[in-house]
Amino acid sequence: MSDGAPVLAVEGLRTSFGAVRAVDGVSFSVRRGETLCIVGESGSGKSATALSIMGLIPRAAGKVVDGTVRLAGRGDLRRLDDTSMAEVRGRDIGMVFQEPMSALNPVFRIGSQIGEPLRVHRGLSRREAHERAVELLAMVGVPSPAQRALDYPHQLSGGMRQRAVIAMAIACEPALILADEPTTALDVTIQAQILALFEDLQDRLGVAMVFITHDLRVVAEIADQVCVMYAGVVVEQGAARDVLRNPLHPYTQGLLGCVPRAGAGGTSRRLNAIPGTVPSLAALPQGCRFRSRCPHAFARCAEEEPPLLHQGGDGRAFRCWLTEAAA
Amino acid sequence: MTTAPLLEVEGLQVHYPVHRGPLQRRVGTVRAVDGVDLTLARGETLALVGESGCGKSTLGRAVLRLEEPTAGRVAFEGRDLGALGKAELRDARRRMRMIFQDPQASLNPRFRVEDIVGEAYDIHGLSRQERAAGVRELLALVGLSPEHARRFPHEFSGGQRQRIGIARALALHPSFVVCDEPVSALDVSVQAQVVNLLLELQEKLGLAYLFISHDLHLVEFFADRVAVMYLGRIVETAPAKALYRRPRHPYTRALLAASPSLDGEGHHRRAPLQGELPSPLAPPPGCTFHPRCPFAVDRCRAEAPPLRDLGDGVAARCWRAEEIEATGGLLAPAHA
Ligand SMILES: Nc1ncnc2c1ncn2[C@@H]1O[C@H](COP(=O)(O)OP(=O)(O)O)[C@@H](O)[C@H]1O
Ligand SMILES: Nc1ncnc2c1ncn2[C@@H]1O[C@H](COP(=O)(O)OP(=O)(O)O)[C@@H](O)[C@H]1O
Ligand code: SF4
Ligand code: SF4
Ligand SMILES: [Mg+2]
Ligand SMILES: [Mg+2]
Repeated sequence: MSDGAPVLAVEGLRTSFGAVRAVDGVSFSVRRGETLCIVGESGSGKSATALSIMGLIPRAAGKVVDGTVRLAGRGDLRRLDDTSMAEVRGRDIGMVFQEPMSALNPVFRIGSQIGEPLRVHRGLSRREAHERAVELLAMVGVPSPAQRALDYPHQLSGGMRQRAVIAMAIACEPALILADEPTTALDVTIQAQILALFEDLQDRLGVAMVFITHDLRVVAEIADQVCVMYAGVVVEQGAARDVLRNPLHPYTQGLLGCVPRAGAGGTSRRLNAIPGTVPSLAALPQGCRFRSRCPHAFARCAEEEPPLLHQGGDGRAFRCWLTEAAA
Repeated sequence: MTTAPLLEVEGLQVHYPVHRGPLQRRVGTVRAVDGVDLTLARGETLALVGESGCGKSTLGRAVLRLEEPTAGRVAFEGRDLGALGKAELRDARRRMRMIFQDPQASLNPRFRVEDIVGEAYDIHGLSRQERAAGVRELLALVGLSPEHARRFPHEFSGGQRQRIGIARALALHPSFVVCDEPVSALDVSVQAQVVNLLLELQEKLGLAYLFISHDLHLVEFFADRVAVMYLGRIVETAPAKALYRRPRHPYTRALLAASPSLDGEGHHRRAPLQGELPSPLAPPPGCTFHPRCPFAVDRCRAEAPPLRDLGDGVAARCWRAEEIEATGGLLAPAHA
């Protein structure tokens, strides 16, 4: 299922907003039919990573300064001109964001918005595009799709809008879906429906998925691979099952300890909170970025930033001096 | 001391008229809270869970009488709040407070922390020294330092702002705090810090919490009892342990099945609950859950089930609770 060359391979990606290095050397790859989750707290650089891949970092605010973003059949996206990049966004990569209204135009009917990429990139007629839009709405589980296609976005619930955005994202049968917290604003019941929908679409279309979330429980439910981000860098990555069961980086361990579960903390009834807060990216400490919050920090951590250390051949890697000693 | 519960809510109802059109005609009623009974003991945590729009916040506000209920009765520390005069109600309000989801929006940006936290003291006429000492004590209680008193809310992180909101709520020694999604807007690591703080304060001060949340795993960890709400009504109430081990209402089952968990058992793949919350303007007849319930039969579509006592402190609003449980929830869907 996840064999073959990667659909997307990101290598050494760096993106800055002025002096703020929001993405500071991120590498990963994802194959056909595979789901890679990027997980981290707010401000860790997840969205900036996604926007960098799509070439959507606002020029006035910042820019991608280094790295390659290779998409199968397209080469390095960073080398493409604006026209080709627009084509990639409409056809090769389907995007889904947290807030569906950011992807929908309030003054156009749902059906015509879903049909738009089909007319632009596939040359379908208005009528063909509309028919296909209705099929796509049915495919993503929107009841009465023919009627809903004639609705305006505000007439749909949050969950239905997100389904419409997903229909739009898959309209041109993309090789990759890039979803940035697509279920964060939804109730768990609707989240479960949307996650099931994504998996179903992956099974049927073999599409690769990069799924951004702050919720490790969602990672546990859907991810094949995971990248744990902290303050602009990936601190740990690998097969999701391995990372969640046997976390090597103190931040991953800490994050897992924060997840509430029955009986956590035993009789003292406390969660294993990580002390302190995420450091400001504009004023990162020297050495390891996690140092101020790390229960295991020692002298070396203050002097040198740990590099990404690879362990084994299965893509497992982490950024910590301590675990280098243990590995 | 009496053995009467700290809080007793009976038949509480909040209906909002809905007006539409250029003439603002009344077109209907939102039954945001539609006949809720609750009790809470001293030092106890009752969690309120359910999908957004089911009436949790409205219920929380109505219990504190920040919202005038359209019907029903709330008794707090043995006194019927509806029967109190203005001064008495203000007095009762010292002892029942609220913490909000969005600490940013609930703190006045132009006030210094000392004025936000000390505001309650002013209303209740304490001297300046008493007030300053009180603020210092409160800040220490929630893990902030004395020098934070002179700062403004924007100088703090989200977690620290929530601590300020908690300090403000605790100013006048409440016995009861409504926590409306107090950690939902916080990052996971900070969420754990604030959850721990709430637990610590409860142990230290003997607080009772009405804890509103949509995170069922957090509630399982945090609460003594749980009330599950659907379209303005409580559909199941049970001790936390019992609710998770043995959910009785099909909606509770569905919520649990939909909640992702670290064990990664593919919860979402069970496709537990179809459809969405119906409009509270036009709730379905009979059992309001029937359009989404896999076990619905004719009776459910015609007759609204009462909240039935099932023993061991468990009650559920379902005609078929025993039947469904007897088959381990595998009862053939009634309308397949
Ligand atoms: N448009 C922007 N202008 C300036 N700085 C930005 C912008 N977008 C993101 N950043 C910076 O990048 C950091 C990472 O942001 P983001 O990728 O949105 O985090 P996440 O999605 O993990 O919450 C932020 O802390 C912020 O400093
Ligand atoms: N002031 C109001 N006027 C009219 N309807 C309201 C008002 N406040 C809440 N509602 C409605 O009452 C229902 C319950 O809302 P709320 O208590 O906020 O739910 P929850 O907190 O569970 O998300 C919703 O349908 C909401 O739209
Ligand atoms: S390098 Fe040091 S400070 Fe950083 S995570 Fe490892 S032990 Fe902690
Ligand atoms: S009363 Fe009927 S429709 Fe309502 S929850 Fe029970 S089985 Fe389902
Ligand atoms: Mg983001
Ligand atoms: Mg609410």
